[in-house]
Amino acid sequence: MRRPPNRRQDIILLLGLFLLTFTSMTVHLRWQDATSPASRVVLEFLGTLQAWGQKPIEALGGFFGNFTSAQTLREENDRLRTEVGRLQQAQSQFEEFRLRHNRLQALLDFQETSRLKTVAASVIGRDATNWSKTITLDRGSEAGLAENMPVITHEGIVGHLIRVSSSKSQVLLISDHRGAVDARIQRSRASGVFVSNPQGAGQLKYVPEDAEVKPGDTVISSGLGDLYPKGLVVGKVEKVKQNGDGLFQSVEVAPAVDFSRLEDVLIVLKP
Amino acid sequence: MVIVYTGLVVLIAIVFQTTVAEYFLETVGAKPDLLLVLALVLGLMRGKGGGAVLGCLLGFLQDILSGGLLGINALSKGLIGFGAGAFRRDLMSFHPLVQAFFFALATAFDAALNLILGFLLSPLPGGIEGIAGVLLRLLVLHAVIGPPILWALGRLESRWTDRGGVRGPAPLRKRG
Repeated sequence: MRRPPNRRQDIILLLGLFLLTFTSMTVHLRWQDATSPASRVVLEFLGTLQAWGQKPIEALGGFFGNFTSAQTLREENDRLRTEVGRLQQAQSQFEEFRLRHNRLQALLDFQETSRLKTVAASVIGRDATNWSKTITLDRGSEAGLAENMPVITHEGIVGHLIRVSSSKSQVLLISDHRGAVDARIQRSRASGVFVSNPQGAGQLKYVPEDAEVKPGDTVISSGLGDLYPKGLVVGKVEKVKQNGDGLFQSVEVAPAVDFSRLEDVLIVLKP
Repeated sequence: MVIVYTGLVVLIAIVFQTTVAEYFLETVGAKPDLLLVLALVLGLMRGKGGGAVLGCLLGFLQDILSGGLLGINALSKGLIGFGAGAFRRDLMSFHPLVQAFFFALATAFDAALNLILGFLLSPLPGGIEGIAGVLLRLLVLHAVIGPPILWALGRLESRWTDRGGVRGPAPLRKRG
């Protein structure tokens, strides 16, 4: 006797679930360029949580990193044995400051030479799924940031802002398969579209078969598409293969930025 | 007490997912989706209704943090929570290997839904090369970490709350 009401409840529950999620997908697709007030609040709250969690996690991350292979562990162990006697807490802190100084100096040098108006920010969190690649920054609209602003380092393009709250923002990396960049080969000016597959490997698509491309060529942003300024480094050509279809050639590109080691970035403020 | 406990578990999972999980990408080649594992576990503990609601909530948080299509993970995790709730009585008493299979199955379902809906509703310029490799790693990873998390959270819940909802893994039963 209890089964029919339970089944009805289940159907209502499932219908509610489908209705809620498909509505949010529709709303998202329609207004995907704007950050909704709800996601702004959640991003702000979770971004703060991530920032709190990041410091002990970085220490833990270093610990986990030692286990990548027995070889690494052995080398790390040997290194630590020799260093343990002479390294002190102050030296360790100094080293950290020095590295940060170097990173920021490189960004500052780039900022001065590039003539782009930029704001610096630190990475405080990373993506929560395997199907997209984003990072969270510790700056938001209070620092003048807005959606679709390009994010770069002195090495090259990182991605662009997709969500901005008052003090946090989220970046879609170009290693995400949605983070396409209209690009060209710096030497021969051959144009194409840089895209990444889900594992983060880059490709320059739609390069005409007769275009001159060879391994080692630098790939830069073309300035088309109104997202990235012209001339920013995207990566280097690794491999070139003729598809044999008479139209395009297959060009593999290694991104200039090491996304797994990103700590500080610049956001290009649009005029 | 149950609400505080569940909230705490969800918060820890989200902080883990957005920080520590990144290191798995470098070593294993895929990030464990702790929120997926949690959606299944909470479905088993709370039943269909609780599983669907908590799974949906976890999915929404994940969607906001990942910058993807808002609602896609909410649907996937909500359905996983609901499905796990439907198997509540049976799955809890199964051998860890059988539980591991269900975690792998939920992973495959989540990936399929994410990819199909993602590509249908938001066509993207990138290819889908390399997905099989990531998926295979995820299936193994979740099958390995799922049963211990289920067991540990069950033990914690029965100790911290009066629900006593989850039993530890039982030995493999011979049927028939």
